[in-house]
Formats: sequence, structure tokens, C-alpha cells
Amino acid sequence: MLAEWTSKWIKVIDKFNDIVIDDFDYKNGIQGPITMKHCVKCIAINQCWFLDEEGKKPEEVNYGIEEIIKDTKNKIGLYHYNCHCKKIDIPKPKESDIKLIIPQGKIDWLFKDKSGWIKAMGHEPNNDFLEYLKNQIRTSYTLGKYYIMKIDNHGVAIGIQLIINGAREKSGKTYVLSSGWMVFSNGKLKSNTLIADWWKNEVV
Amino acid sequence: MKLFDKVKVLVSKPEYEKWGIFKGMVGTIIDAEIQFRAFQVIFSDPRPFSEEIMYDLKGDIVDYIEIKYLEVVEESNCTDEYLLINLPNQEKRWFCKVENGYIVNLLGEKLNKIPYDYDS
Repeated sequence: MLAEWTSKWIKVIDKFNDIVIDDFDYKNGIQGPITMKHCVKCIAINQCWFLDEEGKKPEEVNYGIEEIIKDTKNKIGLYHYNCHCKKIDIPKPKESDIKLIIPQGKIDWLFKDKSGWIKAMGHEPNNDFLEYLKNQIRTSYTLGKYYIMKIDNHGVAIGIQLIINGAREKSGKTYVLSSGWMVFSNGKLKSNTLIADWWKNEVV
Repeated sequence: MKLFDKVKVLVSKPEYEKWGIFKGMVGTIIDAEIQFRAFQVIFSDPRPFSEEIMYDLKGDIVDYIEIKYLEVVEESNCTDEYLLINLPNQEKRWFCKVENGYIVNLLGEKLNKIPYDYDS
């Protein structure tokens, strides 16, 4: 509870760049032309929200004293030399601030491929379960129960802890799973895989 | 090659191996759109689900694999209409299929210039 009160959230911003990961370009992925001026990974995190804790936000460069005093035209930046990104504090997001982007194919995959998992927890692969799952994702993410898996040109991939209460004959049981998402701008998350694995990350 | 096709990884590369993806592994294309000439592929535990082994099943690995390193092993019956509803902003210009050596979109436009050279 204390961690929840004191948790601090940040938003990464680049005031020289309006492009965010949502502005996918049909030809490349993230908008092509802008990458001539900006680092693609920095575009991928522009306007994204993160809990201000290690493993839950992009790692900043820890410049050594030699690099700081080195006579170079390169400016020290947040994530690399000459990086325009800054981080600003934002209020802890509410569940209603989180918008989930789930392509229909990911839902169909969940109901088909993960049907056994869903039924084993006493649920049915249907829209009621999907809505329940979406609420659990929003809750966990706003509580900061996620970790960064990978950051690359495709964006920031995170694993979110997913707590499913058993239903019917599995009532009283709690299942702790992992759900894969990409962080999009301003509280949006895009689904990678709705149920990925059992939760194995101890750092929650 | 398109959404829900089963595909085989043709190479070993450190950037894939780091995430547990090795040459010969078979996964399923899980996102309709092609990004940076790569498909998002999911690799699931091939064992059929049962409650007895549910806690032992390996978790899914989801990553983007470059098209040049993939081979179709089983085609899905995904239609163009279904692809379209899965593309960002339902944009027909998104490249989403590989046909006859070309990366194509739903308008039939080609991304690569030389067939089977997916970087061209």
C-alpha cells in the first residue's frame, strides 16, 4: 500500500518531435522520414508513461565522469548522446486512463489457443472473460505490476502481471499469469499476447 | 505468408537466440501488419494443453522476425477482409502479405523491388 501511495510516474517527451509510436507508417513501422533526425527507439517511447522505477522505465545512460568532462560536440542526453528526450512527472494514472488496443486476431487467438487455460481457471473463452481480463490488465498496469522485456524499433514490450480469480469449480483459487503488451503513447497499450505465461517475475 | 500462417525460423541469430528463438522453431504469425519487413510471431509450447501439465508448459515467446528468415510450413485460411480489420486504422496500404517473393499490401502494391530479396 505504501508503494502505491509513493509511486511516481513519468512521461517521456521530446519537444522537437510530435511523432509517437501510434503513428505507424504503413511502409516501415514507425514513421520513416522522421527517423533521419530522431532515434527510432526514442520515437517509440515518445509520450509514453512509465513507473519511475528500475526495470519499469527505459534505462537512462549513466555517464561516467570521463564522458562528462570529455571535450566533445556531443551533448549529454537522457538515453544517448544528443538525445532530445526529457522525462516529466505525471500523476499516477487511473484505470480509466488506460486504453487497450487489441486487434481482433489477438482475441480470436486467445479464445482458440488459450481456451484450455481459460477453462482450467473455471472461466469460458467469451467476451465476459475478455472484459474481466481487460479490467485486470488496467488494474495491474496502474499499480505498476509490470516489467520491461525489450525496447527496440517496434516499441517497448512489457509483461504485465495478470491476476485471475478462479470461477465455478475453481472458485477460491487465484491464478497469476503474465500478459504481453507494447507501451503506446499517453496511456495506450497494444496487445502482444493476452495470456503469455505464468507470472515468474519476482520483482513486483 | 500472412496472419496465422505457421512459419519456421530459418536462421540462428544472436538477437533471436537471446529471447529463446532458435533455427527450426515453428511459430504462428500473430499480427497482421508487417513492421520493418518483419512479422510478429508467437512461439507456444507445442504440447497439447492439459491441467496435469499446465504449470510445466513453456510460456509464449512473441517477437518480430524478419521475413527473409521465415518459411511457411502451414497456411492459414485468413481472408483479405479479416486481414483488413486487423491492420492499424484498417489501412489497406499496410504491407501484410508475402506472395510470389514480394511483400504486398491489400492494394496489390509491392514493397521489395527484386522478388525473394526482401531487403530490395
